[in-house]
Amino acid sequence: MVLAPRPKFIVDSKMAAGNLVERFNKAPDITVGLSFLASAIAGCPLKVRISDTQEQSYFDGQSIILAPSLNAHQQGIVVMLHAALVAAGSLESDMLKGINLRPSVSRRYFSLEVPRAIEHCRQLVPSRLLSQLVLPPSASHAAEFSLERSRDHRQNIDLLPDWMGKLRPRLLAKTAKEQVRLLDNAGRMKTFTIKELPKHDEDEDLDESGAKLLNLFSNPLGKSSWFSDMLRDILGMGRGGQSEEEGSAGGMHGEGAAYQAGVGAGTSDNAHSVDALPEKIELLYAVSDWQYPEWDERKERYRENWVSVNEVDVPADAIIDVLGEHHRLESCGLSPHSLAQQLIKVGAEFENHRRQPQGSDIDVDALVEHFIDRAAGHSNEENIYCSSQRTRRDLNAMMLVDLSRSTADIIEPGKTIFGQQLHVARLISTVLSKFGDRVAIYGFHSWGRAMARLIRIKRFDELDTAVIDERILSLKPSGLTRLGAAIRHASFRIQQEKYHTHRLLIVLTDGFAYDDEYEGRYAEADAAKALEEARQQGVACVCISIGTEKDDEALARIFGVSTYLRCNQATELPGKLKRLAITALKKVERSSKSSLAAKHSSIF
Amino acid sequence: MSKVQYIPVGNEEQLFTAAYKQQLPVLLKGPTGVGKTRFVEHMAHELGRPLITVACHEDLTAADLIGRFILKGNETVWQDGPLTTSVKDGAICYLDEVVEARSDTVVVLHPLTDHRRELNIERLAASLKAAPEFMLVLSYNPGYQTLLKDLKASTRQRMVAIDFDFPPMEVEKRVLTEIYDIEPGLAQNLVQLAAAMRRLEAPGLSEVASTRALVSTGKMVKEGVTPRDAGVATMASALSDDPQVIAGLTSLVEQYL
Repeated sequence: MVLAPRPKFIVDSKMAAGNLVERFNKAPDITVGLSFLASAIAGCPLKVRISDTQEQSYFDGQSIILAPSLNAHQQGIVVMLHAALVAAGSLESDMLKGINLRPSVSRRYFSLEVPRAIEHCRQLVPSRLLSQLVLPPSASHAAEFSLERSRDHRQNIDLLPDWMGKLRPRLLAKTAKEQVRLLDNAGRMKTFTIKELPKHDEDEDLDESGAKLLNLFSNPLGKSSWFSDMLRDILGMGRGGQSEEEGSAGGMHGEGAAYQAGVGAGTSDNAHSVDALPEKIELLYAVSDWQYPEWDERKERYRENWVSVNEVDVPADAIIDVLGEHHRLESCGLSPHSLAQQLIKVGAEFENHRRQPQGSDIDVDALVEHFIDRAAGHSNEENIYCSSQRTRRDLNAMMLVDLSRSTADIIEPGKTIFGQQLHVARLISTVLSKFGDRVAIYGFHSWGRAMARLIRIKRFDELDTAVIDERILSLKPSGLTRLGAAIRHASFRIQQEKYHTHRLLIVLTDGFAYDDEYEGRYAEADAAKALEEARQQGVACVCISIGTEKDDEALARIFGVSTYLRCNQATELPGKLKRLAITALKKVERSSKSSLAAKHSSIF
Repeated sequence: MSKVQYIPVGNEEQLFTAAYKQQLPVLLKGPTGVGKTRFVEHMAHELGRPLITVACHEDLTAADLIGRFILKGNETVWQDGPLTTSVKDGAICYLDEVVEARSDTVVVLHPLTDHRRELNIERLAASLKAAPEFMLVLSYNPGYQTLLKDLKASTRQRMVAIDFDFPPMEVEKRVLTEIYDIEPGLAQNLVQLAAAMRRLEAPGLSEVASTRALVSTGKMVKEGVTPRDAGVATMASALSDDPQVIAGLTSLVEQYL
């Protein structure tokens, strides 16, 4: 079979990373298509990829891995066979257990089950592939029966040719287990590692054991970075310098340990540079730098050009890493349905439109004027009706997601603040995009005032596609939170958008505004100031904080009483989001009206 | 009206006829492109009633259905809407995709859908008794935009619901071959392709290949387009805008056609 040339992937030329473009243009064209075939036959999402080694083709529970030696025709057939095995239930765990890891049984079972599975899916598989496939007649009517026969070595079984691949029962069983675990936790965090590790509280002697553990895992092979990352999070050292409460509870020990291990952060400047280093700030190509002022609460004035902000794309190689893996978005248990029902009403209301060319009722005033005009000998227009129409104004919404290290906190097994925030941002973005609103998602974190960074997850002009998910999956929490600068830049970006009847900035953060020389009252005051500026410029701002311990007062101090939302679970959102967004929009509308009124009054 | 060919899948004809005879309103539920509209046309012909179809949309007001005063010359005159006309003439009034209409619009249907069978026209301060042959048929696609809209329970409970889904493979193949005269080999491949697409849970693929899309493919092929090109045009590109999904669907089409 010769695959016809397929249209190339359209890749936004603005995506700077060349290798990404290359990858998208070249690699997936065969495997993407075959993945669709596999998923269609199996009835569940499967992936297909081509092996790097010369091993026989196999199915690992999630992907069908093809031997590179296969020709296009054989590829199609192998994908079809393995997907059919999934659909026909040949790979149920009972069957895999029954094979008992004996290679000969496995091969005999495979040879018996493939014809049965194909027969089972006869209606589904492409007849073109089927017509070219020579298989022994199906000698089995059920997987159990095949298993029995394949274990009885007196029975003669026609073995299938090697190129059709083989079963790997051990691998399948392992994937099945992992999938169960993933389903349980529905998240990326591999919780099993957490259970295995001793849990350290503040009252434990953190500095010794913490440092030891970190040393233990600070990678002799140079590979276990995620492990030590996680450890840092568990030991509470990741929150660069810790919140005030923790600092007072067991802070001295914690900070000491962090310093020794060279990963944590104290509150002094030196400690910060130590903190920044091991986190390996990727040197990304930044489009340009922006300078923003910062509000100094004590002196009640701005520090001009105080913070450098740059904007980067999600690192392209990170995306590539993710494509091969079985990551998925951390579930937040929120249905798009409930969210949409709330958000549809944001910025939309019924209004009675008068002087319409058509409508349900006659607009008497317009009618009278019409007759007068006609009697006077002019006007042919008959705009004499009124109609009630829902007017939904254009909404530009930006999700600004806190990616700082502190968001790696685990809310409950399988759920991190980080993952929940991103998923919620993603859902809101999807829902609003469906309504035709323009939506962007930016992430932010910082390493001191010289480096506040916004990561473009979705630009306003990008479509809501699967690429966005891949970008989100490639992100990791790191850095600190210079909230004010992020808000100022986001507000700048959102104002650059042309259509701006309604502008909404949704900040998803754990509320710990913290960076180098940026903490406590100072940080809160600056963030609040940044929000005030944004609102004055007509950007409605709301804050969503999921599963954080931050007390309400702190959020209220920063975001204002009526425009923040703190919830323990993402599922609490829909009930409150609409009111939150509408309140924020109204607030801006009022303030712009009053400033307009103020202008007028000064004129007259 | 000329005869509309329709191949029944289950007892839908019997249900519809019974509801008509008992003067009950009918709700047709099912995904887009499986033949709901076709079925209503067919039944209207079978029952010998005129059919008045209204495609519902967001801005459809009660006045659009019932009627309104308009200006004609020097005076205002009343103009009946499609629903009022159906009620008077005893037609079958078919409101397609009724969830699309504003919820306050759907409420005017309530007195028509219970034992009263009357239409209140508040602008005329009048109440109109429905002709005995009048029948109200609503269609509703539970998968489509239910994100936003749902049918009110008070509307639903008045209805006789008939469920539609993608027809079984044999029926779908018969639809293609018998009604649209598509060559059986192609029809078989098309039906298999559609079944495969409907099993996909690909992200970004909200609407699946419908019978209507298959018919379109077949019609394109009749005009000399190769099955593959026709399939890509009517199913792969038409169903999604996501380049990755389109590429996947395209290659799926190529496997089957």
